[in-house]
Amino acid sequence: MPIITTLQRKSPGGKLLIGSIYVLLSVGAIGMVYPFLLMLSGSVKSGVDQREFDVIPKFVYDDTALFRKFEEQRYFGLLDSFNVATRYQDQNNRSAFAFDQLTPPEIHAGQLGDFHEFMKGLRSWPRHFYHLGHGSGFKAVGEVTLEFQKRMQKDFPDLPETEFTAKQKWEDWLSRNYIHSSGPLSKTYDQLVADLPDRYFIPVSIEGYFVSVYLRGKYGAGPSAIQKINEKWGRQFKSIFDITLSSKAPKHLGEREDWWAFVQESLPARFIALDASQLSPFRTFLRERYPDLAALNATYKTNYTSWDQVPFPYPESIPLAYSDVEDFIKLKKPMEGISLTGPEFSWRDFLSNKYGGDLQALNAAHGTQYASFTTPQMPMLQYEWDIAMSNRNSIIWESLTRNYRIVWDYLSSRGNAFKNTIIFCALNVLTALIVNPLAAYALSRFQPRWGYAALFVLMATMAFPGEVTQIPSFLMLREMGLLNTFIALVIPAAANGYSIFLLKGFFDSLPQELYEAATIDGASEIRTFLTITLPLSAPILAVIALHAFTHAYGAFMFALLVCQDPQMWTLMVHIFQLQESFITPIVFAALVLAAIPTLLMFILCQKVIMRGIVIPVEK
Amino acid sequence: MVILGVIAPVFIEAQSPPPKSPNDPINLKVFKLPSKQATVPHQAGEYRVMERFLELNPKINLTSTTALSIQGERQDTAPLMAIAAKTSPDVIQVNFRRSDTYISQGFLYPLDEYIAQVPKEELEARIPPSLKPVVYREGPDGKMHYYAVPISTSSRVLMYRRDLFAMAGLDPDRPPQTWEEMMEYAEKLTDPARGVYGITFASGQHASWDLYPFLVSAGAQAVKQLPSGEWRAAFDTPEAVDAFEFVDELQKKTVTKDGKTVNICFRSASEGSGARWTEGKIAMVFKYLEDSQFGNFDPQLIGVAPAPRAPGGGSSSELNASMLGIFAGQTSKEVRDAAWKYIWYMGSPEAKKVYTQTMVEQGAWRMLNPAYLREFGYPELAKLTTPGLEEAFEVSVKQGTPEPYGKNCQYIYTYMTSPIEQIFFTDFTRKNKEGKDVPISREEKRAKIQEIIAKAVQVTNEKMIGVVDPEVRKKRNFVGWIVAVAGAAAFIFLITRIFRWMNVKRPPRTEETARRKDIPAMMLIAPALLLIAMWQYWPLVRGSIIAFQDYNLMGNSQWVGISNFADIIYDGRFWLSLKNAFYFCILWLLLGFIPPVMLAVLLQEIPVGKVFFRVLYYIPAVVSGIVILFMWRGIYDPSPDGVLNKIVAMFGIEQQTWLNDPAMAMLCVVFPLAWAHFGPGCIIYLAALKSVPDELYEASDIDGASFWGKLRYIVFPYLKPLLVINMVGATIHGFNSGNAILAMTGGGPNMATHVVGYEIFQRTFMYLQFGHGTAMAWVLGILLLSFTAYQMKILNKVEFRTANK
Repeated sequence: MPIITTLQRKSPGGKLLIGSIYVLLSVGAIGMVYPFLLMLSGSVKSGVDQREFDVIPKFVYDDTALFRKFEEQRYFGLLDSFNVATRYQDQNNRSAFAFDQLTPPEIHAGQLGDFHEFMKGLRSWPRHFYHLGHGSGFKAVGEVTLEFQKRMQKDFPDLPETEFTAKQKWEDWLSRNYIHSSGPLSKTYDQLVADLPDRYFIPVSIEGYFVSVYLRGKYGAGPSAIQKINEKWGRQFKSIFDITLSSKAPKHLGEREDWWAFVQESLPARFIALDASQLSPFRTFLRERYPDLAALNATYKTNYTSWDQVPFPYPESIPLAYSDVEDFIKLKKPMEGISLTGPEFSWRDFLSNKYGGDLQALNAAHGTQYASFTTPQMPMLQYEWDIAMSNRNSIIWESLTRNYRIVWDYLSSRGNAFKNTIIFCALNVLTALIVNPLAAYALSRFQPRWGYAALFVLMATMAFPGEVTQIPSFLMLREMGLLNTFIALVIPAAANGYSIFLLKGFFDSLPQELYEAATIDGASEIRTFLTITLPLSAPILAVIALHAFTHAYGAFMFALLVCQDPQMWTLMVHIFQLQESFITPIVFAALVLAAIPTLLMFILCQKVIMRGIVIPVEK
Repeated sequence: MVILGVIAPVFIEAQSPPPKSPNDPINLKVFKLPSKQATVPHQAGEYRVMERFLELNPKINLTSTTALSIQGERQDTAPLMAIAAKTSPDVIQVNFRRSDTYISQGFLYPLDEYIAQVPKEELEARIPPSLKPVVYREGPDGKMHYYAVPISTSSRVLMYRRDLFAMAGLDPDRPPQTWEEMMEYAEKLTDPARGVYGITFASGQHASWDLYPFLVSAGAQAVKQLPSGEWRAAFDTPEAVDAFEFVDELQKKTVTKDGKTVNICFRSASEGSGARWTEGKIAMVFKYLEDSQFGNFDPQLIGVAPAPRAPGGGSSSELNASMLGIFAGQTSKEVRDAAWKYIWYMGSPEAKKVYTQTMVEQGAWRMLNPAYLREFGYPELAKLTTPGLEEAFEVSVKQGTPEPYGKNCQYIYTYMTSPIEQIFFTDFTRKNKEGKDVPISREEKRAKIQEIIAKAVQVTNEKMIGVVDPEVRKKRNFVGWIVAVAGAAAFIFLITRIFRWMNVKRPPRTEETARRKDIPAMMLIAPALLLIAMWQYWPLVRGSIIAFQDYNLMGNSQWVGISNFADIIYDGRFWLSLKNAFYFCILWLLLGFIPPVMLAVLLQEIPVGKVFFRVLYYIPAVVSGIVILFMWRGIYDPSPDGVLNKIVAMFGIEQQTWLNDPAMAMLCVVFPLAWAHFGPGCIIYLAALKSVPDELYEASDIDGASFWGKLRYIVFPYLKPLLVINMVGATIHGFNSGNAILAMTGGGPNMATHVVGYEIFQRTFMYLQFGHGTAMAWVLGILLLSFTAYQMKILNKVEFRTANK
């Protein structure tokens, strides 16, 4: 019953008092919920925004924030890949140094429209001209990887997940060592590539690689780099990002030197086309390299019958042939006889065709001042901004749910997690309901003279810091051979002095008349217990059970300590382990998920809990 | 309670090996096996290296003991915990600072028999002269032995953000060369508008890690070896004063830009500066660079430089190496041989080659040392690596000073940190004639610093190295005995009193009723009693025997009688930690005990929305405890853009440093704990309030009692027994909860949050001084037992009632 009577409530003073109580409670509730909302919002974040504390994640309403997040996901958090693909530069002509600093590009409708048209042909390009984005990042999993893992699980249900995540390798067409795999698993991957919409693909930019990796590696990252290059090449670039890569060997000696070094040392052969003039030198080179056709066949795993059958410049299906081309270029130096291929060059050809070689028309349409058709760069950033904006809702939805999907996939693929948790919780509830109520009932019903002494013995260890007993307890379980069993999880904490104390209090509070009546009726002790005590004790038993449940559900350190076999891990142990391999927002998501059962339990059992609480009052 | 879990390191034991037959694989247990599930390239590299080892040694089967513990402490605590739990791996990781302890406690198996088979040249290539004094040491038998093999060298270098340099108008290819320049750069780099700090310096436990490059650059040392072979702390020379003085200035220097005055140095107690650094909000930081793996950073973005030169011209930094040794507890020669194969392989060119190849395949070659790329067939890639990185690393290694590796040097950082913090919180001003604070002269300041560090060296020598005069020892033991006897007497007195309280006022029973009632009672209680005896008392006894030993993990613990107790009586830290625990407890009572009572009263009054509010207040409690602490640590971000700082700024309060402020730190630690406890705490009072008999209110209404009057004369007396019992419980809880400390502050700043629970944790699990740890736990246990006794005394006088209405 409230202290303020119903009558007082209606008086102005009472109304004021109640009003101020509401205000006070509301302010407090905000203080309670606000940090929790921060965490909820934190659980849908990623590297780019995880340090921003806000209740509603910015990317939900802010286009720039969404763009940053989208780019981070697209390039799986790898700035290198992003810089190579987009050649992003900020106002100070620096490349991107953090995804959270990206600024939106200026959109030019003419450029963008043409580029969209160009990108429509993506599927007809050579395979190495584009690759999938949204892969796995640092301690996180991208959209495409999630989808891939799902398909792998479906296609290869017997393969442990660890197997295919280790074997899966993302396309790395810019690496000379990369070999596009064609094993049994790659079917699933190829199907994925065929199914996904175009917006998940990124054109492979060899020009970006040249500028962002090669030139910056050679001339340094500082502002002086462009001066050095201008000096050497005899050019007037404003920034390193304005540089384009020539398809044929450039005329200027300085530029030519860098171009040639890049082609010889870094560029994979899949992006190099040998002119027809190189046909016979290349064949000669092959003959020098392989003593006879059989040797070549052995290496290539082919069965050509004459040298003329060996395809020129190289068979796309035989990765080893690339290294022959690379060596040919390095050793024979056919500088004039080669040209580079890649999406950039296709883009320029596309523009040239579209505008019929009319540079003025191009400049007018694109609002640019190109001096020739060899200089337009791919407007990648504009394109990506456009994808992000036109798919805004689905990207927001993906971002909001991604961490939760990752956690869910992780947990549901970890075999016994759910089963173990249920068994452990059930066993814990069961033992807690047997051991403690029995002892408490004895203390309350029989009132033995040594009752309080026993209670003291049961409760006294609470005063000692837990550190002292931790290692010996573990050693005991070990010596008894109980590790990795549910017994080890349940038994050490089965008896709890405080629970016994609470239970005894509750039993004491039961009306003694009932017992007296039972005794007069000649009911046995067991019958009394079953017919009188138990039904009346439902609330407190519910409280004890709830405690046992939350304890078992939340325990992870002890659970890990005594059950080190992953087959025995409970949900919480897995979540704790998850911290090692995932970033904080994902861990937050896991904990939010894990909190749901506990919260539900509380909301549903509130009434029972309230009735099961015992209060000491003076005699 | 939840937090304890996270902190306590855990050891995961492999399945016990089946009986041997000649064809059985040899089970070799190593500390950690790389995971197949590699999300980071270097993990894939490590995995391939391991695979290759298994290819080369098909008879060996590798298993691992993975360990979990809180970040930062893992390397130090986990292996020791594994040894303590007798689940040690056969191959153990050794670091410099722990090497002496490992050797003197006999954890490491001497490698001489294996080393003897290695050709001299190969040996010299693998154990360079600079590392030989660390691995070739005098053992417990007084003879020289090889104890470990270095796997890879690392050095602490200065890393800086080129982009921030460029933005601040500095040359991104020119790192600061001297201390002075470093300070100047840091000032220029600090940009309050963008939340950028010039430099970072750890506060809390790890502060002296950041001091070390300055200390050794100045020409000072942390410890030195006397000609007799004994070790002494040595960080109190005039050169050391230079270093302490400089880092203090660095931490305090402020700069005013755009009307905002901010520190140039970002100080962080626990989080480290990781995230801020990657975000580009810190311009310079000291970080480890390992020769095999230059790290997960973009070398075009991040520059690397050797430590700036001290005014004296010296430049040096910490030199370290990860080393592997064989666990001496492994008795099987076969397994030891396998362990040696593993150790020797892990640092071999073959392993490095496999690693390099994998990294290149993964496209992560830019994280590699270019020297590796050249050596293992990728000269063209080596050319593409950022110039300067390799040179900086080499210079840094060449000039490096090894991490202290003398006696008990794993504690050296703790002991060097406390003077840093003391100096930081020392007031170097005095009042002038007008009563204004003016800085004291440089000489005076240096004299004060000298005084502080000289004292710290003395403490280090006594505590860390154990230099105690025998006379003093005798006296202490004497006092120890007196106190122990008094303590034991108090304990016995208390116990007997409690038993007497418990037995009063019981109606005498006939023998017949006793038999009829006691026997079934006994039978019903027996399971609970047995379980408690077995899983609470027996481990307590077993663990407490250690309190009288100089505990050695490998066995052969020496009985030391009362010494451990005597030591803690004379240990200022212990008393300080008790005092802090007292403060913690008071705050906990104020914030964690009282508010739930008030909340319950308020909730009881409102006509609608009770359940709604109850659920809202309960929400924090459903989230795992450790997360709450981590989340609050984020909220307490000391920089101006920290959440809490933004909130207080709305009320016109200036920027606070929260957990970094000794005056406020304890409050900041207690608050989140109390916050999470509001909801669950208030439930019992709500129930109690419900059970107040209506007649009492009605009667007082007739008397015309006011709201406060009813609270005072009805509610309070009714709740009193519950309040008292819960308050005692809260007190016990308050004294025992040291676990939050590790997660939030690690005892800092300047020992302000170093509570006794944390001290015990630190002694036991981090320093492995089980003897001292358990002795403290007993002292604390006996103190708290009296609270429990008091609780019992009250319980004896009350009866229970349910809130069943």
